[in-house]
Amino acid sequence: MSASTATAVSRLKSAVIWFGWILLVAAPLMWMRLDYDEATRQPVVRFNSERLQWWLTELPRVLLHNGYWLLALAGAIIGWRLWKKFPQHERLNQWGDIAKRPYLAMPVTARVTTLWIVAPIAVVLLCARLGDQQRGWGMFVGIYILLAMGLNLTVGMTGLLVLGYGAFYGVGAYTFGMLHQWTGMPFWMAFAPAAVVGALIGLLLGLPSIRLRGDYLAIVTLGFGEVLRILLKNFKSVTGGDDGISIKREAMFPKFDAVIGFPDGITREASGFVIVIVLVALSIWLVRNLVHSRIGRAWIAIREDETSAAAMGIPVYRLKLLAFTLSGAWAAVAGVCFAAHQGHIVPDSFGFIESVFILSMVILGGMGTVSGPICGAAAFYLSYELLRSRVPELADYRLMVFGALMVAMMVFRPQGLLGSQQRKIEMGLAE
Amino acid sequence: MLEPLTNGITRGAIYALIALGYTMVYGILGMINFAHGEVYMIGMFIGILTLGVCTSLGAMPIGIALVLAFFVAMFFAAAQGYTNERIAYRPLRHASRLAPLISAVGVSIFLQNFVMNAQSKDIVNFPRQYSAPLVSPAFVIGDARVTWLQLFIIGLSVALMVGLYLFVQRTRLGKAMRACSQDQTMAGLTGIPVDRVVSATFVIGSSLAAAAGILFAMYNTVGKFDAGYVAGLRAFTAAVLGGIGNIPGAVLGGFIIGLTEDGTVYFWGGDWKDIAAFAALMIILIFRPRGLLGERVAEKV
Amino acid sequence: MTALLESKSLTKTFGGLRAVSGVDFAVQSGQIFSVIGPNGAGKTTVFNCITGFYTPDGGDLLFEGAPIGRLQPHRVTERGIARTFQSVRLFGEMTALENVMVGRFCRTRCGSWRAMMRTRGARREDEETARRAMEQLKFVGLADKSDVWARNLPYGQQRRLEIARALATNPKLLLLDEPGAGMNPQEIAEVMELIRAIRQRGVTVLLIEHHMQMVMGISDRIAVLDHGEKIAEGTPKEVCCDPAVITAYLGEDHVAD
Repeated sequence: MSASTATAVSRLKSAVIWFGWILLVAAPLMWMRLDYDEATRQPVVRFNSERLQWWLTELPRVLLHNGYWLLALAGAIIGWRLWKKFPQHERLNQWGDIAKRPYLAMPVTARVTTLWIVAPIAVVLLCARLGDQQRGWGMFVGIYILLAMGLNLTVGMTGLLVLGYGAFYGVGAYTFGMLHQWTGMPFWMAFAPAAVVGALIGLLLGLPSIRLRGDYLAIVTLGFGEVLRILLKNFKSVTGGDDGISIKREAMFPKFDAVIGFPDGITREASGFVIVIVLVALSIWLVRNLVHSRIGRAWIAIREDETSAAAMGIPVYRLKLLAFTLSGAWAAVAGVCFAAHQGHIVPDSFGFIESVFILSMVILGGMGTVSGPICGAAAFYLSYELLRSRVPELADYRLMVFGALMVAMMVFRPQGLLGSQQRKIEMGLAE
Repeated sequence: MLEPLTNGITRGAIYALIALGYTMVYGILGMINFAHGEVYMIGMFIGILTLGVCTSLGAMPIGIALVLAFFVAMFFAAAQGYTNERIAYRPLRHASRLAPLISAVGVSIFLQNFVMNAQSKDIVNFPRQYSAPLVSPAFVIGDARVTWLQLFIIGLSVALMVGLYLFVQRTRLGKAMRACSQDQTMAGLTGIPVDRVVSATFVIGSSLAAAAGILFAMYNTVGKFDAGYVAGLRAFTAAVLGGIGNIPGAVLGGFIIGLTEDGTVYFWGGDWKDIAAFAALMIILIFRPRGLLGERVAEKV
Repeated sequence: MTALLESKSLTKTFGGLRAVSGVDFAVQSGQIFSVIGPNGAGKTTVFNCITGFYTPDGGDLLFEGAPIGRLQPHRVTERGIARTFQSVRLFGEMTALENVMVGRFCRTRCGSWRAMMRTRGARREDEETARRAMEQLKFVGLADKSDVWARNLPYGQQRRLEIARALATNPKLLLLDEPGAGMNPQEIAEVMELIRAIRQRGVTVLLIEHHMQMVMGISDRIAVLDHGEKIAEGTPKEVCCDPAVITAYLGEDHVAD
């Protein structure tokens, strides 16, 4: 038996042992059920035979029925291995000798080039061929791309862990909602004010908290997110409390009944999709410029070594504030899109779980890169939605899977899908 | 006016027990164990389940049933805490601060939803028969009725806290824990089995949380799968308030947060309870991150 | 003639420990000034006070006649003081060129808005930054490594990269913290050449170093610290024969040698 087989076997053994141990620890909660005994009017505990039955009959049926998912997964893994063949940072162009190339092009890598080819094809396909539900998904992928890119500015590039990002998302949606309530404003007029409000709130949050150490900053942002959500719930007169705000149809993404070239009309999903894609394209351009500018370099420097960055003349505090401000603006714009699509917003859509989702997209995709959040948002949202719609029996377990995935991600691949080996070393785990 | 005081102390005792878990783990590993609240919740559920089993088994004296419930819950919660550490935190021991925090969030979400699916989405009732005899008032101070249950909660909590304190100060393992929290590398070099000490820390913290869980279920009469998130954040606030990493600080912080919570409900109503806790947390972190009893840590350039 | 950098009774305490106590010295423009002393003498603390990472508890620090003791680190760099660190602190996730380009930050002005829009001014400034960064790389002899990840460079080259990065900030005074640490004699000679070349460019150099060969070889003036106090100052010749210095390094028995 070769060395690698031996390690594989021992790993398998320990995995099996751990699996057995986990089953034991989880046993009481899984196999016992609290029932209410009418006779004695007391809660009693019974063996959860329904669950055993489900495991023995329903679960295999669901898995077999959706067996093509395993095929899709296998396909995805193969695709990913091929994707990894393109080295992360091998550039197709070089800074090289500046004298020969007076115009500085931005670094172009093989992966990014592929994305630039694949993405427009996907977009065109979605617009032309697939159905409305797919366009709705595409629109949400776009919204989450905006969110992930915004969060990437603080978490990925500057290294500031933010756990309450969902609140900024909500700020944008509610800015639009409240302005709409007072002035009947349509969605496209709300982008600018929402961005400004988002930026301001990002600034306000950043001012006191940026000085804090990493995990404390995370907790403060978490607290902020929750406080905002509760405030939205409590000030019923202004924000509609738990019931939220409704937005009139005219102000939402437009719907056309019959237009030249589109005899069947254009649905709200379609128009929303196009609008969001335009925003995403704009966002990619802006973020890319930012990343490859003096500001972007300074942010990465701060993330890598804050002390050293300060010694090189970088005003660390101001730049961190800038990251907070910009990322607040980004989320707010995404929030307007969300409101313009849904037509009705409630505080609970912007809570902690939402923040964690967006954070996972950034981490899963690979932090600190431009294409990373895009990939993460797309992969994450699509698998989440597809799981919900295609395998509804397992829908309740989505969050469990998600939690387990987060742990697995950090333990096995902290640099994300598109991260480099470099990043894994930096996260401190490569030997 | 004294009602919130007595309620606050009771609640504070429970928070203090949970806060101890946070503070011990932070002291020894420097990480915030986001999933600790879920361990508390699991202890609560297993305690309730055990009592349910006792009911099903027929007539059993309340005292024995309760003792059994405490032991079983503490055992399983300890196992859970141990498992969390081994699977989700130990592989990340040498990683950046970011990684274990995110991993902990993942564990927290997993456990919450696991219990939600495994048990119930709705509230779960604590079997009243086991707490009924204690609910009668013991004595009256001013306009506050202090029940036997409250005394029991405060008494047991204080007993556990004192036990922990003695353990940490007097026993070998306790000394090893203190050593590891001061300088892990050196502790390892002097022959202390750091991994085992870390595991022990998790086990002890989780047991205390489980006890807190049962006590809370007795006090509140109901439990829910998201109880961990809410109580966890409050207890974490308490730990930070007292000075994270500092055991007496966690106890002090727990009582203060308990009093704050009941005070807020009394003066401004239940809606503002949650905000008060979060606002307190943020204010402490911004203005005095080392807490009341914590020490300042400087960074060497 | 006003000194470029002046330290007057500089004092810094940590809790009960007086890391630096009443240290006086002056560095003239164009000099190569070395600070030496046994480990723990307070040399890096002096650097940290100068560069704004610590605030002095007593005394004055004057740069070009103006006080700098209470300035924040990036402001100190703006004034014209740059530094390297005792352990190499590069930005690992960037190429060598990008590392040096970061050094140009305080000398450029394009803000986030113009950066996002990628205006002509922003692009021109970026080109200029890259050009100047390349110059610095050429100066330290790393021109061919411009696209290599900083993390992947061998140790000696990393140290030179750090110097290039510090030079990119256009300093008048360069603080080098143990530039010769961990280097073999060949590399030491190269570093000495580099420091002389830096002085040639008009940059004053303040140096902490343990390699006596390097210190004696290139310094114009040396100050010796021990236990936070300055025990000697002078030219290399004066210092190496000073009995206080010998005692500090080797102990009392060697004074007679």
